[in-house]
Amino acid sequence: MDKKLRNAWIVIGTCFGLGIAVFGLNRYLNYEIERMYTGIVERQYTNQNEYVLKKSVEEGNLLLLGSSELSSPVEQNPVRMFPNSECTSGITIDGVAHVQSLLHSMNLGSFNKNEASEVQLALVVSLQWFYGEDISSDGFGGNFSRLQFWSALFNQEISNSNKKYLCERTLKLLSSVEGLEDVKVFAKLYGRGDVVSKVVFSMLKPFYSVNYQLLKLTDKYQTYNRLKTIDSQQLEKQIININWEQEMKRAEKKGEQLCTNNEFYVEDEYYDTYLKDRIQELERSSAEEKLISAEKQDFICFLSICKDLGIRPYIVMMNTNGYYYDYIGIDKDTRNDLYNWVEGQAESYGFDCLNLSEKEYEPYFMRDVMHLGWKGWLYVDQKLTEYFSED
Amino acid sequence: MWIRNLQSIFLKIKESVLFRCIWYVILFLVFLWGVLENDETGVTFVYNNF
Repeated sequence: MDKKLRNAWIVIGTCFGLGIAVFGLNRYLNYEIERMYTGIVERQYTNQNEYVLKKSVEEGNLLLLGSSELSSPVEQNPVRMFPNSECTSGITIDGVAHVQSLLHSMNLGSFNKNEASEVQLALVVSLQWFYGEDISSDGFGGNFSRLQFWSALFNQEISNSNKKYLCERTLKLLSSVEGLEDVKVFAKLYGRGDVVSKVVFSMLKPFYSVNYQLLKLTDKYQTYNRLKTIDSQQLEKQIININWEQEMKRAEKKGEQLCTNNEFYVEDEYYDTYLKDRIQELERSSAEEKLISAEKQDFICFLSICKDLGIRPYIVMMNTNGYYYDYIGIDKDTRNDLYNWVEGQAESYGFDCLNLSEKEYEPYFMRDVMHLGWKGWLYVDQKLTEYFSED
Repeated sequence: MWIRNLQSIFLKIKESVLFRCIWYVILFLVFLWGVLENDETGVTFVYNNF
């Protein structure tokens, strides 16, 4: 056989073999995930991958995005309160500390318009997101997902201006983070938009596309590995009946039992661990804080991406512990300005907002200085139930 | 004698197009396995003992 022809056959045969192998692997993973899938994964983990998010939407779950408050161990945490007799949707929680508007914006990038129309989404916004001049680059880098970034950037339904914003912000925040060079190059080229950048970008696009497809497969493989570790004997979600009044009394009682050693209505254990020894130095320690972080623009970008995709998020503007924030010097007016700004922005995009500013001084509403507690989560559960059972 | 025969059969197989294709596919699958085992997506499940 002619050597060139032989080599051509080797290339064709290898590509064919690879195609079959990858197709087979993909089918196998789909089959196994479908067989093992359990809603437990949606509730036991607070950082979800793309596959679980999509699956959650397919199942009609409510997606609750937020940050560290989602890990609150109180009994009233929404993972324990959904589905209930008034709102039969299950719940998928997604977010850990430092996951804020920008990362959540990318998180939504995997949905196309058809899927997005089915998305029931709520976002819990924290006042702490708006501290300082900008968000933490370490926090952003530590939670950054290549796959979510590519998904948002390859999503045809997200506007070019939003994509450019995502690139600019990503580039800025990752500049002090080691690694992720391919992402930085992509963000730089996409953000520039001059002729040379466009040519180089077009040349590199096949590389990024292959990388994106590999990451999607990896995402599926991770789901498969995760599902293997879940005990299938655990109970699947069950619809519970909630008597809100009774539950509120129970929540108050629980709060009373656990907050006894301080004037801030903070759980004793939290107070002893994080506040007791520094309480003097904390007084008016944040008096200069104006809550004007670049997070504000990120939040607007999140709303804009929701609009691009046709998602109608329910924004929950979480309050803080008023007693504590007065003590550290971030006064009520500054806090109210932010609460109202978030509500105003949400409404300007036509989205509903639950503003919890009036709950700042309600005892046992917060578990500590910034995270929803017994009464707080229960109240939010009730509001989410009312809001999403209307649809 | 039989060793020589075996050797020549092995050489023929080694030089064949099919063998090469299978070999490259195996190499790629090893590479793919390495990629899949590494958490490259950046998303890690964070467990909560709810």
